[in-house]
Amino acid sequence: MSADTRTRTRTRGASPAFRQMVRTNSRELFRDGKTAFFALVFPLLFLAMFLALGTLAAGGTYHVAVTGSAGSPAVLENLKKPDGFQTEAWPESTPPKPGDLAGYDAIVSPAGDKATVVVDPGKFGALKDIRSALSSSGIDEDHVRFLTPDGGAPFDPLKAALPTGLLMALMSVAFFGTATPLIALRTRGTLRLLGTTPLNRMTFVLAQAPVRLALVAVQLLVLGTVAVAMGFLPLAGTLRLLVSGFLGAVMLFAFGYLIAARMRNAEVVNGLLGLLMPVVLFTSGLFLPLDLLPSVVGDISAVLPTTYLVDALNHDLNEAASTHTLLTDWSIVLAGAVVFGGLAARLFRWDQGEDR
Amino acid sequence: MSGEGMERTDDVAVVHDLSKQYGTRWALDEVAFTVSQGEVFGLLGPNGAGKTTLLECLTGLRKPTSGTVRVLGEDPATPRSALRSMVAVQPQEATLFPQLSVRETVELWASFYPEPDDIDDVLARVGLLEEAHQRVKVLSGGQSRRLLLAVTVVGRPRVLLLDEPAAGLDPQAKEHLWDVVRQQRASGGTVLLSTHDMHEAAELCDRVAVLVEGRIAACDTPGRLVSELAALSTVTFTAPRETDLSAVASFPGVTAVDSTEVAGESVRVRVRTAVGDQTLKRIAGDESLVAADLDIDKGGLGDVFRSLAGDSAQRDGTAAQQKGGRS
Repeated sequence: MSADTRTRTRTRGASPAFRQMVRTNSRELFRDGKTAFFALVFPLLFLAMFLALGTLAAGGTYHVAVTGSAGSPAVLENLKKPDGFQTEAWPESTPPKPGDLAGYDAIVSPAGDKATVVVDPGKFGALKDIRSALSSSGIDEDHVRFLTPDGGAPFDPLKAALPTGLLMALMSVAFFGTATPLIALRTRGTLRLLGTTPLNRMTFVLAQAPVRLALVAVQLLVLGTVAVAMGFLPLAGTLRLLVSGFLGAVMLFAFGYLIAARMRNAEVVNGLLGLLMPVVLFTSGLFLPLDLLPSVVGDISAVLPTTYLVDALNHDLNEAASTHTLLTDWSIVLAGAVVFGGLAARLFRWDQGEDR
Repeated sequence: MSGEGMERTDDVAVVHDLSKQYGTRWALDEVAFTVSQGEVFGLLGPNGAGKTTLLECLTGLRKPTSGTVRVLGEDPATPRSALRSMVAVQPQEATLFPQLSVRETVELWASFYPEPDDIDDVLARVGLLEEAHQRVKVLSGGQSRRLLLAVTVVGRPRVLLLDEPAAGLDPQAKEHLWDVVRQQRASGGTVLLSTHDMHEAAELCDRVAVLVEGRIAACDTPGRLVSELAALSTVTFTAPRETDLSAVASFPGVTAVDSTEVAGESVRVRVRTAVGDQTLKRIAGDESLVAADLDIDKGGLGDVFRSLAGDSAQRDGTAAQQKGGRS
């Protein structure tokens, strides 16, 4: 070849292979409508669905008492309106004892422009209507404390929709946007062929990251905007949410790589991962509060790193429901990322793992 | 291409007592040969003879059960990355990235190598210039094979390992392939290719190793293989239908005679003989035969191949049931 071609190729940059692989990854991801759908549209649809479910989660019969005097009549009237609500004034002369619902499903105690609501953990379906009744009585939801009788935070399906949506989004990118395409490359012999070129294995693996992290950034942005707009997330909390989301993404990617390290059948893996997603949501307490589930679910939950990712997300998106400190959550998620990533790097094979 | 290391030795690939076992079956049995710089070396054999296994041992995709393989002085199973940029492999089957275009694919592969070839030049050489903007997923089988060839040569490797490169190619695409192989040799490079096409082996290869059931049955230039091993020639002629052919069968060297009726009152007779020229003269000189349209075919690699495969089958009558598995 001519001398100028050689000069041109030499001046193209430090690692043309890395840049070309990054481009290849984004082309493969975005030109294949299926992958883009599962990675981007699918999780947003889920988010919308969960939010809608959270909004609709009313129904059922709720027996509610309202204490105090100042401002109480308006609250009392507004709390009588929703379907299924049997609301009355607190009948005793003494205020309710802390931790005792006295047979009610919820006790609402307004005090000026603030209010405390103690609610039975199994009656979380009432939260939405209580919140809107207080809001129309002039008590902003930022000034309402929701508590369970033992002083914990009640499960709130509307708020749980946000970490659920985010987790679905991250898992989609990690599983259907990373593991599945990698396995398909192995099945079709592309990895085997790449293994015979000078392409460095680390270059190949790292080049997968930029486009996928960009996808995660978009997902976090969308989720964060929704959360801030709904008043669930103070603007100051977005940074922590980004850190949690980023760490979670890295851990889930590492898990995706681990699955892709040796597996050969993309269809089987797709099925298994599809099954894994609701299991992760379930064991993280996002469908139903863990207290309401058999203790064995709690035991399984305690050893899954995804539980701690959800807990970290809860700090900001569903703040009341967190059970560990943010530092504990981040450490465990990071440890999960290191373990999965290390195993994946150790086990990753270019070829199909045939008899050598 | 740099000349580093070329002075050291002319031996590009050295295979020594290479055996490879799959389960109880020996896919390769003490195979040994040496390929020199600038040679086009063909591996000829039927399906299941061990050609792919041998090439995969040379690329490092498989580890030998015993024996050694050296490519440019290194063990391909544990190569430095420098070896990877000097040896390029075209597997029999591999899918590239389906969403990339032809040009993007070649650009991607070019980026792996320190001094890649010009993209347009490579596309022109394999005959894919017009398809440069098509997505890989819509290419036909033959076009995909040509793209595989393009990504194999774009890094300007010193050694090309091609596994049945002509499979599924139309005659024009074959010409492109042959040109690429010849160019590689002309620029001082080396090519190892497997094929079961005798014509291709004779046309392209400097030397051919005939692989039968995991063993090298013969290894020489195509010309010498033919003259030494194509023992039988075929003499054909036309004669009247009532001609008595029993005399022909008794001519010295003749092993078989058969005839087929052709238009009118004639038969076309095929005579297999170990001494082609003598038999031809006897037939021409025998007036009772009234032979016309005499022709002689001195055999080719195909005959070499059949006779070697036949020998081997007789030798290992008991091993014949061990069929199946990869070639």
